[in-house]
Amino acid sequence: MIQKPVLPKNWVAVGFSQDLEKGQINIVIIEELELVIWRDHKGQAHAWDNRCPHRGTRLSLGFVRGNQLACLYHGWQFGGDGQCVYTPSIPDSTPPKSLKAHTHRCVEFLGLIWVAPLDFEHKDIRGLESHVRDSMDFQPVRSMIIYCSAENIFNRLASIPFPPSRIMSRRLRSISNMRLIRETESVFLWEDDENRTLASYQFREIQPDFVEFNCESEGTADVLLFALQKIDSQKTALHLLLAPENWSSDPISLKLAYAQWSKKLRNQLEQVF
Amino acid sequence: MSSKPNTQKGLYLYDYILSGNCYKVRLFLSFLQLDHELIPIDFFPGFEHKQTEFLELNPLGQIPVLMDDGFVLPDAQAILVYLAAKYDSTEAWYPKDPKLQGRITQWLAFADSITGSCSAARLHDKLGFKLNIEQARKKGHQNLRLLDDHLVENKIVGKDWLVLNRPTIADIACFPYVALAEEGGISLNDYPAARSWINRFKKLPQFIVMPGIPPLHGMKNNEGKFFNQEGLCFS
Ligand SMILES: N[C@@H](CCC(=O)N[C@@H](CS)C(=O)NCC(=O)O)C(=O)O
Ligand code: FES
Repeated sequence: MIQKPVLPKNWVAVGFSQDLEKGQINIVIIEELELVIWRDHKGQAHAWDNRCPHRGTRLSLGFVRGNQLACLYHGWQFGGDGQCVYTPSIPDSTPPKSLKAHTHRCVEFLGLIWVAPLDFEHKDIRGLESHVRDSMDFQPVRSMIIYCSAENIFNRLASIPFPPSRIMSRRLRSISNMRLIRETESVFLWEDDENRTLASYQFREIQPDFVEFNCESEGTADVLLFALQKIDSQKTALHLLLAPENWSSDPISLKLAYAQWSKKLRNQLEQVF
Repeated sequence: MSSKPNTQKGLYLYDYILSGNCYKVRLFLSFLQLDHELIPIDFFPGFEHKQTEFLELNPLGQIPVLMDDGFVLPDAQAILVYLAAKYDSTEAWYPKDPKLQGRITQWLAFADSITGSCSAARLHDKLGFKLNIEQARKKGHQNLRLLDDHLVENKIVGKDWLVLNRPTIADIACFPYVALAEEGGISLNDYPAARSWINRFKKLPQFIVMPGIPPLHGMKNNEGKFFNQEGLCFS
């Protein structure tokens, strides 16, 4: 029997807030479940099953009308709580309470849109907040698709590329033989031929599929957040955030360096071993 | 051909409404606000572009073809360069700068690769053309990833478009078959930067739509006005 996919019981990041404008509608997939995410004109983001309760049309084909989502097929309109509020073919009637889109929890935090099932007990995203180091100024680097399962991403961390160092010192550049050593389950060290440490990586799981990554080299430390969105068994979206020790030096070059670094990471992770 | 221009004077486009390559030229003609006449070619099912009369205009048997006061020019990218050089006195769309022109031309060539992948997949799905669909979609995704990566990195350094912080003919050349990719079974879900770029396009003044490329219905333009079904703005 084919089972209907269900949302996992945790918060899943599905994209950056800045990539969903007022009135915009996107499709996102979490563990094979297709959702529509849309932003109403008040600015509130919503995440629902991508199926109209009327005849099953993809709601993502519809339009945002003010703070309602209108289905393309017969124009039924749904309010932010999923309740059908208008059926154009019977304009004067109040639609029964049973006509409701299948909604999920949807909140924004750290510049990301997060989704969780309605019956998820830790409904307050601030439960996450206390685990993310405060006073850090996280900014989006990018979202990217990696053709690799989330499990394999964690298994393949030993192939993570060397950090983009800001002041790529001559010393570092002249070293040809750097290697990544797994010190402990969550700590990796880059060492040169004489076993001197050039950089260190430390991972900390904040919740499933949401990992803090501490990247230290040449006396500076950058913190990255990896928010993983499992799409299916082959494909994962990575939403990458960055907070360097301080943003002031050259924020644009730094962000760009990490964006380019993330492409190398994707390359490595997609290589079939 | 339905109607051959009986005078050599004026600007004519041999056009097919469903062709993304013809649409790039229509879009640019609209941005430049140039008067022109469309000469419809029965691309499907008539295959008029493969008939003797049309082959005299373009021996490759492809649309679009532009005719400007009797000067016949095939190829969408060539037409974009020609129109910009001749009619865009602001030089905004194809700036007279060697490096920028080199960069733009790189994307014009890339646009043909998008035609060969995303457009091919669409011809397969929509018009039943026989071709290797898996390969077309795979190549389409490779192209979209490259484009999305580039847009991400450009955005970080403050550029909203492929070459500059304003659109050039590089963007016009690449836009149609990216925006139409879903019609060939190539989902844009995985390319948020490309999706935002498509939306930016739709907010440009004088933007026009084609079947398969709807306006930003339900969204607001840069002046805070809503778009209606025709892609026109109202308060
Ligand atoms: N490089 C040409 C390609 C044009 C092209 O592929 N046109 C399609 C219609 S969108 C066509 O005429 N195909 C017929 C064929 O290639 O035989 C351009 O950009 O104008
Ligand atoms: S299927 Fe959505 S309104 Fe009928």
